[in-house]
Amino acid sequence: MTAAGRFIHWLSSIVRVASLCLLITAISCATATTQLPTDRFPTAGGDGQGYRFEKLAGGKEENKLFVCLAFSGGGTRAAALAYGAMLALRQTHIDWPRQGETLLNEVDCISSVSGGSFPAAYYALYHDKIFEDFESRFLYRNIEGGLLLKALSPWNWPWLASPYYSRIDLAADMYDDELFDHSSYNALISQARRPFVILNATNIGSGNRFPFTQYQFDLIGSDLGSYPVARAVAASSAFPFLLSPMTLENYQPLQGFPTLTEYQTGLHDYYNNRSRYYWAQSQLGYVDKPHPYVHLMDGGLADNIGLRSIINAYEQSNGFISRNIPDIERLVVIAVNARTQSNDTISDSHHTPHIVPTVAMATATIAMDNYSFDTVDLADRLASDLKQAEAVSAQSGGKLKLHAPEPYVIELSFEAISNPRVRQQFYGIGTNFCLPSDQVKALINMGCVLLKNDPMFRCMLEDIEREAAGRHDEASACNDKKKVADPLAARQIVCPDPGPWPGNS
Amino acid sequence: MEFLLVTFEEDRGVIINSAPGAWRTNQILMLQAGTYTVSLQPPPDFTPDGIGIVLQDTTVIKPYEVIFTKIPS
Repeated sequence: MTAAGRFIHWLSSIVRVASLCLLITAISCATATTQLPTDRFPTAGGDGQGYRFEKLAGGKEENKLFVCLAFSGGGTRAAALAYGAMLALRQTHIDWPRQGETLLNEVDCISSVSGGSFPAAYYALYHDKIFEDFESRFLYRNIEGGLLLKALSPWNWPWLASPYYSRIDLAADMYDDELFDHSSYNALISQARRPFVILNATNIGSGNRFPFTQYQFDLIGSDLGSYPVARAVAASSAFPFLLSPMTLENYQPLQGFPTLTEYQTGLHDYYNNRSRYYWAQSQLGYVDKPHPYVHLMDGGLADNIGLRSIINAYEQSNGFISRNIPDIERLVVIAVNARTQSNDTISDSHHTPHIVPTVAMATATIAMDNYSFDTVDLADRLASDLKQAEAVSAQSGGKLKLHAPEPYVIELSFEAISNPRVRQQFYGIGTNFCLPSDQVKALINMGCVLLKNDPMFRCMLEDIEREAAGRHDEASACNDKKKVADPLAARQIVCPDPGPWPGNS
Repeated sequence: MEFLLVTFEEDRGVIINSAPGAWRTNQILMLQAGTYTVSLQPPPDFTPDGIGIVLQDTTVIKPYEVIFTKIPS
């Protein structure tokens, strides 16, 4: 063999070894969950170590005003709208239950899907720092272009050729490097402060919602603590066809693993409460008939508003809201819904729609949108039940000892924009992760404006101001639907400049 | 939404489905319809140990009532 031949042989050996190393590393990336240590098994009641609401600071006093936010899916448009609403919450000053607080500091939980998961996770990790750099690090960035560039870079090809590393891993690694600074859930556990953030994905095997919480990870025998937040965000926003599923290992069955009574009793409820029955069945499926893997995609496939995790926490007896209800005086749920309303162009043609992309896209999004209406309706019905129960109890003159919190369900959507032309322009903004700067600016402003002007938000603030002034016995300002409340806290909110978009054209 | 009244001669924490919460005895609790086990927080000076119930078709004025009795010391 000539010297040149020996060099080529040596070079090809190096390349083979390097490729093997890359592949081994890639395989370890695909199984990025850690088996739950036996000393961290949950108790029969569901308590235990790890990322759980009960482990975050806050007690009876903090629970008096219980605020949960739901951030919907919808790419950068959803993230910008949610961020705008957070800007308004940050400027909402209240003196009850604690003096001199902002409503943002009173937020106890955030549940999110897809695009909404970016501001949710960022706020949980960095709190007020979100208002310093989230716009430049995420909202005004071309995330899709960045992903495409990474996919086209030759040094990423060996990874992408591996069956254990795909587009979703590339996305997760990019979010990890460039947005979440390699933070894992252990960072959230060690902060031990509210809000409790629930990033929701969808288990495409069972079709059910998969929230990234230790309660859910208990059921796959896994420790969420060491899991990168960026991977949870990537799973939550893995839109079908564009990104591949995120894969977790299910370590069940584990010796001595306790099964929650809530799920066992729920299995008896087919005729009493079918939603509880099916939920129990799906959750016990992780334990009783365990599959070795869980494949996750966009949380919007199961609930595109992000409200279901909050409703579950309220309805289930082991839910973190349900367990604290007796301490809650006002329960505020703000759903930031960035849903689209595109024109029906499919029905204009007699030609059968093409499978790709028309039918595929419709299949992925129709169920998302239909289910979203039901979810908001359900939250409204639950709030109405609470109000009715409280009214009956009040009429009993103290004979019925019932404590029902005053509920406020606030849905922010473009539907509230009064100018039909402007409303249609906002509905038409894309749901991708790359928007023109002027649209991002307009969305941030609109998130703030929608919250500031929302009638339920305003009457809720008026109730809080009355409470702070010691006027406890007055009926809720929200009972008078004809009158729009004008609380001081809302007047003080100054929304950011909307910019030139959408203009007059 | 269903309504449950857990009656006991003292003010005591209530445990629903093995999960302790902020629920108290002698107050009407709200839960979704379904099957539950109800018990009380320690000390274990009450009987029975736990009661299984199916909560359905209740109203605020007609809640499902479960009664625990104190064991004389």
